[in-house]
This record gives sequence, C-alpha cells and structure tokens, in this order.
Amino acid sequence: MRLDNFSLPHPILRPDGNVKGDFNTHVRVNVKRDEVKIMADMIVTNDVLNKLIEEKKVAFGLDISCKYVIYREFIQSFDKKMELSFPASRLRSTTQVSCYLVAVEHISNYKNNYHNDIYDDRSFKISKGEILGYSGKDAFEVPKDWEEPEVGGAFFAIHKHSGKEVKYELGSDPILIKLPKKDYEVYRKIKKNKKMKTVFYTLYAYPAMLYVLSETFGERKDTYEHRKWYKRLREVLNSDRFRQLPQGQENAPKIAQMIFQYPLTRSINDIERVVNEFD
Amino acid sequence: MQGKQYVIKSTRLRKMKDELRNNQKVELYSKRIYVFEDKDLLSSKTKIPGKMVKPILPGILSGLRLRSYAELEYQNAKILFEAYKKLTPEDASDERFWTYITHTIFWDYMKRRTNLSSQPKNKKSDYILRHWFLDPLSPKTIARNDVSRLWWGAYITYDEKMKNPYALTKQLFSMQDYSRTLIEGTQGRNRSVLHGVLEFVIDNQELFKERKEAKVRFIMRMVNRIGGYRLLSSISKEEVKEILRKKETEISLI
Repeated sequence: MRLDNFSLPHPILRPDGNVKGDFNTHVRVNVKRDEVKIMADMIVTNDVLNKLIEEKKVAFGLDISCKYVIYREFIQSFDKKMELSFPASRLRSTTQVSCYLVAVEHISNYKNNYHNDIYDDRSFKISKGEILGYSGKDAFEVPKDWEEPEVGGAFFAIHKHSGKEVKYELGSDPILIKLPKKDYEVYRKIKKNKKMKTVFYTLYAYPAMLYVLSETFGERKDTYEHRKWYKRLREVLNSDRFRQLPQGQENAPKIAQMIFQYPLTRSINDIERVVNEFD
Repeated sequence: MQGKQYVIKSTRLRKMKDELRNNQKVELYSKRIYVFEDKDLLSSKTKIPGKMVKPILPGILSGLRLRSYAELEYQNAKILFEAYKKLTPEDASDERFWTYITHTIFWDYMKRRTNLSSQPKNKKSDYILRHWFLDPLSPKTIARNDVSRLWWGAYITYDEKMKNPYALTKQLFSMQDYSRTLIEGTQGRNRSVLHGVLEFVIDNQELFKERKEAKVRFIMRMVNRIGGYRLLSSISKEEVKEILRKKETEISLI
C-alpha cells in the first residue's frame, strides 16, 4: 500500500513527518521450507501515542501482503515485540510487510505534538482503523523449489528498502542485497559505468559473500540447505580451486576474495585510474 | 482423469511460451486435443489427487439454459473449486498447474469460452498467452486466465458460515469489474474488505438495481481512497459495510 501525505487527513508519526518523535521497526524474517516466521521489534518515542497504546486505543500492527496469492492480513498487538508464524504454503515469492500504528477504536479528541505550529490548536476525530504512525515497509521472498535448481542465474539481486542500512537476506533465491532508497537510486544511475564495476563488487557483493560464507560454515547452515544459492555455493566450494582450502569461518575473507578474483585490489587499481584521469 | 495430478514441466512450459511468442504452434489451439508426451509432465507434489472435473460448456446443457457468461463462470467456479478445495495458495499460484488444466480438462471449455478464431492473425499468440497461461504470474494474469480466475474467484469469496457458501462467488462473477478491481487490486486482497463490499451490494439490491456497474466502480474508488488513510484490513467486514452504508445517498445519486 502506497502511503502518501495527500491521502492523510492529519499528520502521522513517520520518518520526515510532522509529528514529533520517532517510530522505528526492526523486522526479521526466517523462511523455511514449511514455515515463515516474522519477528518485529517496534519502538515509539512519542508520549501521546505511547499513552494511547497503554490504554489499548492504539495498537502496533503488521500489514502482510502477497499479491501472488491474493492475500492481505493485518495483525495487531499492544506489545512492541511481535512474532508471527505462517505456513509457507500460504505465501509465495515477494511478500511485503508494512508497519503501522493504528487506532483500534474511535478517538474523539486526538492531539499530538507537531513540528509545524499550524496544527498546534487542532484536534482530530480519529476513526477505528485510521493510521497514526508508519515506520516503513520491507519485502522478503518465499521461494518455491518447483524442480531441481537450474544452473546459472544471479546469485545476488539488488533491491531497495526504506531503512538506513544495507541488509542481506539469505532467506531468498537469489540472495537479496537491500540498499537504502537513495543509495539504490545512485547505484542504478552509475551501475553501467564499466570503470566502477569492481568497486560495486567491493561495496556490496564482497561483504555479502563474507556474510554468506560465515553462515554457510556456521551453526545455522541447515537453515539454508534447501536454497538454490546454497547448493551452487557448495558446488563452487567443492571444485578443484577451493577443495584444498580449510573451509571455516576464519577463512571466509580469503575464499570470498578468491570467488570475486580479488575485488579489493582491483577496486583500488580502478580508483587510482579514475583519480589519475582528473590529475 | 483420476489418480495422479500432473503439472507441466518448467522446461516444456518455457518452450510452449517461447514458440507462441514467435508466432509458432498457434494452429494447435484449433485441434480437438492438445497432446503432451510423458516427458512433458511431472507428477504434482501437492497431495491433491487428479480429479474428474467436467466443466459446463458454453451453450445449453440438459435443459439448463445459461443466460450469460456470468452464470457460466459462476457454475464452473463452483465445480472447479469443489474439485480442488484443498489446493493451497502456493499450489494455486503455480503456472504449470493451470496451464496443464487449460490444455487438458478445460480444453473444450477454453476453445468455446474464448474468442480465438476472431482474433487477427498477428494477435492470436498474445491472446493465447493471456487466456491459457499465467505469464508472468500476477493478480492481473490470474484474473485474465479463464480457468484460474474461476478457482481464485471461488477461493477468495467462499464463506462456509453463509447459508449459501457461494453467495459472494455469484456476486463476484456477476460483473467483470469485480475481477479487475477486487482480484487485481490491493484492497481486495483482504477478506473483510472483499466480503464487506460484495455483501453490501447483495444486501442493497434496490440501490444497485440500476446503473450497477457505475455504482460498483464508484464504491471501489471510494474504498481505495479511504484505504489511503485508514487500514481497512484492520477492521471487520461489518465495519466495512457500515462505511459503505454511510455513503448510500452518494451512491444512489450515481
């Protein structure tokens, strides 16, 4: 669901919004063959809304939407920690999770603290279901292994998300590298520049591979065993070039650099070439 | 057909679509049957056994005169859904499954239901891809495939708590606009919104007696607008109906 300021009859608590305070949600998703778990931790720094949550007039909520199975459901809680579980058969491919604060009953005289003083003496009548806060949306993949994995295809895919950090989602095929929205726009503009190709590997693919290898060699590897990327990575690690190397977390940096043909060295060389062009 | 449920292998499906995109094999769609070899098919991993499904074909059957395609689709939606009631959403979003069904069990239905023969020669393959396949998978292609629309339409409207559990299904298939707005749209993905809208129309037959299409389009636009600031998926079906009830005067003026 697209949320834009024009549709809203009053300001809501959101990043860059008019209501003072913050609303942040940290969402983690665990996708297994038979089950999808969504865990969310929500933080609200706004006294008015926190009081309404305590009074059970406003609730936290996750709006889960998957268009490929014509599914949308809102799950609410008064607890800032939520943990949901779905059978994987209910979802498919890209599934979106949006995080809200929602009125669960009519509120006749809603007032908050605003950045813009035009709202200072205003109060609003809030209907049940009205959005009072929004902390953004994320997407995750629920892939389906229809038949034997195909050889080839991308190992990573670059997506954007509403958060500030670069995220790596191993619970999908291919692995998702999620960039903050602005970074993603810059990436799209300059990705075709051949001079910067290895810099992109160093910035995104190499750290992602470090994380992938540490998980592959770690205790959680059975979580990923059914993934196509895992099977392909295992084929690579079993090949002549890598078979002789000790395959443990301490060796992950060396293996990741070998997989990408030493991108750190190639990047610094490319950067030197670009700098020299300007000297 | 009884016993195993089959789906088309991904490689075969890709080949079928590639051929159609290159305007090849279009003539197969005027044949009496579509032939698959054993190597083209895979036993479905679903636990649903293959079903003997007999769709009602367009025309007259056993004295029951089907007045319209709306009635035909409603009846076939019930037949298909009853046969495959235990299909999960995951399995029902498998293009290989629906393409198998449109090319086998529903082959005659598809040939009579669709208008392939009257399409210009250079548009036939696109037409086939739209109606026989789900390419690419999306709510739009689910709604436009003439068989998946039936199952999904029944699945999202079936309500066993109602006296007639298919009452909302009948309403959904009464108008093409519903498929476009409710199956394809964001708001329609939520059951309380979907059922609230359909029940409201059923409960207010007088209001929708005239200019029904225009009025339904109006309430869908209104639902989308309200959905911009109010999370309709967080309220009940009765509360959705109450929102629409308050707009009765406006609706009556359409």
